[in-house]
Amino acid sequence: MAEAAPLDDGDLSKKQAIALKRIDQGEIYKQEGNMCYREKNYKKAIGKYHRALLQVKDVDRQDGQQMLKGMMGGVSGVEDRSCQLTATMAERVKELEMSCYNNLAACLLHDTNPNYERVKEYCQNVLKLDEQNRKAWYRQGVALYHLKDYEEAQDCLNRARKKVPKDPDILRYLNLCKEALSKQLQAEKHRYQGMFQKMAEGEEEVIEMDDDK
Amino acid sequence: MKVTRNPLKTKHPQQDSCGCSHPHKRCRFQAPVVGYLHMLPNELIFKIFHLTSAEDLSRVSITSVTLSQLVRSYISCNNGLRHFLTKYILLLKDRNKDDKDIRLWDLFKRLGLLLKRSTFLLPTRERLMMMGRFVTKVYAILQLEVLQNLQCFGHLYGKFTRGWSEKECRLAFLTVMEYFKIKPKLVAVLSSSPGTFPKAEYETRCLLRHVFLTGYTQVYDLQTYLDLILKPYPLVHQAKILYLLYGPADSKRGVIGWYQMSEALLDARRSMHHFSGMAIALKSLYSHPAWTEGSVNSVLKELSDCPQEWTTLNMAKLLILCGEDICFNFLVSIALNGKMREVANIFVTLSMIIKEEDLQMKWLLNLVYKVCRALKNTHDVHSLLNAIPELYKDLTVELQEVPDAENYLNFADLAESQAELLRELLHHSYKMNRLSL
Amino acid sequence: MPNIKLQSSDGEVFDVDVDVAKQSITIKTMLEDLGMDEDDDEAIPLPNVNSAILGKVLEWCQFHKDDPPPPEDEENREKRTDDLCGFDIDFLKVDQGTLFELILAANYLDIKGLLDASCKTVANMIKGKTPEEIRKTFNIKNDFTPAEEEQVRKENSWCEEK
Repeated sequence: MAEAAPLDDGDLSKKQAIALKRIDQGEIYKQEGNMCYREKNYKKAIGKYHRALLQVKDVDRQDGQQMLKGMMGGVSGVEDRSCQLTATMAERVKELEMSCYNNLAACLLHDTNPNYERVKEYCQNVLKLDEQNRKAWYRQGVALYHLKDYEEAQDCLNRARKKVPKDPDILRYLNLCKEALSKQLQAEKHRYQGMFQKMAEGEEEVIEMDDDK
Repeated sequence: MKVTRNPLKTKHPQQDSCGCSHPHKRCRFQAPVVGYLHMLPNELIFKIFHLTSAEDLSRVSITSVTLSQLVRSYISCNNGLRHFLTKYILLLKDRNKDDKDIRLWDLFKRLGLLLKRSTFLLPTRERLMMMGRFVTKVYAILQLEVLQNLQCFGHLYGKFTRGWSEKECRLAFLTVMEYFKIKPKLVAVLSSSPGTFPKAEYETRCLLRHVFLTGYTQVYDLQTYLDLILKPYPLVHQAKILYLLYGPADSKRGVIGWYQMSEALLDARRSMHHFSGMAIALKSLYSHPAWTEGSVNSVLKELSDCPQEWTTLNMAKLLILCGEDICFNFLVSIALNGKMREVANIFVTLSMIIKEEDLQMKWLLNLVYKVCRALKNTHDVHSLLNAIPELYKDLTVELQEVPDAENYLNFADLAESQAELLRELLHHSYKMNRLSL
Repeated sequence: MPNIKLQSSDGEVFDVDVDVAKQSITIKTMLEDLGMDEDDDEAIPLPNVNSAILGKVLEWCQFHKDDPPPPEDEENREKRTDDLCGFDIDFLKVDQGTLFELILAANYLDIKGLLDASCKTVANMIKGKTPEEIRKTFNIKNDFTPAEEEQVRKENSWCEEK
């Protein structure tokens, strides 16, 4: 008999029971991580969040199945070889992953010398699961600011503003971006002015200039 | 009748060991349908497919229903497709390789085989849709020139549809005609006088030739598609299509030489090329069950006037290559209409070119006898037999008067063939004479 | 040499050199985030990998620990399956169950070299085999109906095998 997908957590097969245990354990780790975070023990929190993610990684294999369904539009009845999660379980996994990645990003930002690329990566992981996640957009904006990608940063920060337009942190970073951008523009202007002057003074070099803003 | 299967409903008469330690009878673990491969999620199976050649993958696709579906979904995704083409993307950029075309055709043949095997469970319509999507994507990645596209497609299509029933071939034919938008071009060409739309004419020729009429290795395929192409049209158009497909054309300028058959061809080498394609086409139609001797003959007659009357020489060349049966039918049909001089003309011309096809005068003589036997009365036979030497005489006089004529055949040829004929006749009549004694 | 403790799904704890464990990008990422601090001795549970397989994986990582990082997958480079090193070839001469478990574990732990090597091994097991041989090798049940079998035969009688 094929394993039909049960509708609730009541009637579970052996594989699904194991999956449930892992999800439970993952949530425990997450809670522990949150406690460490509140105590400002960021390193320990990071360790907990990673452990949580390892619990739920590949617990369902549904990623592969979804990829398959999206592709062919017409391929039906491919045997589900993996452990079919109930809807509740799948939802819990998704929530867990989102929290852990968000919190990891938060932890990393507390470091003295944060790995902004990593922060960006974790934020993107969250956004893949939930396009509207405000915290992820915000933190990604912060990371991009520090990576000097000011325009992208503004874009992310504005997305974060959508739900809470007056959030002081977001506004602060938007301002920082604005300043940084205008500084960049000034610096460019100076550079070109210098070039113009040289030309006016009859320098032989003719420099092709792109008029890009 | 193909039905898409739902493997979840597959019955397993023998339960393989599920490997669990519970000794109960009914186990909730399902016997693996695909052995250990079932342990892997699709993304990892696809990773393995990335390392597998098209031929190997085609064989994988006919091992089980599940794998067949897996392979289909793999080749439908962009990564799957790109994997087969990586080698060739580089090859195309390499200006030095001479055998690019052949290697490309090989690739498309293999892709055709892969498509064929992985889609065999689907109904024909879906198979063709999949082929269309697949090919469109491949073209987008490889960015070939138009002619290369067509040639490659022909090879893929040939492999893909090999062994299909007539009904399936017809559906495939219609689908591909749609895909390349051939019909409107063809209709425009047929309804206007030759040479009006040279570009469309040449395109249609290329399309039909490369897509349907080149990738085959068996006569069955050629005759099937020729029939499919010609069937909807009246005789006049059929002849025109045959000329369009197989008549002389200048590939550099991309035009068809509509009136070249009505002019004497000067270059011997060039002339054979045109006729062989047409002859093969006619012969394949001849062996098609839906085409009678009469219908082939009618097309041939129509062809000999398309778009203007062909020279006797060109007609003779075609007839020789078409083989004895078609040649005989053609000659008899003219003779039965009483046009003995015309028949004689063809006989004489044939006599001058048979040695190029390694035929003996004996063959020609037998053909003459055969035609005579088919005539209704002795009067007609006498007419024909008289017409032949008459024609030799007239041609001799004509060629002598205009020795520098721009004619492929010259005086020496005529003399030689006449001598050959005489030789054969003398030997033959002597034999008859001895036997009657 | 700093060590790290990895725990398999069945509870066994492996004390592993950090350089060896870093072959797994998953572990490496985690260690980078932690700033390579000793992770206060708490083991890292890997619930997707049992002890037998984890042991094998670590054996592979041990051998390959001084390898340069594997190159990025270039889209336009042709993938080969005949470039496995001697160690990998012998290492992967295992029963199929183990081989596929190794693929899963390598995927879970994001160990590209092991994943590539094991996938190549499977691809080599497919190479050049007839459908019947493929079925036998991978224990694939032939679930075609007689009508479908006939269709396969009909379709393929016209194909030249290369």
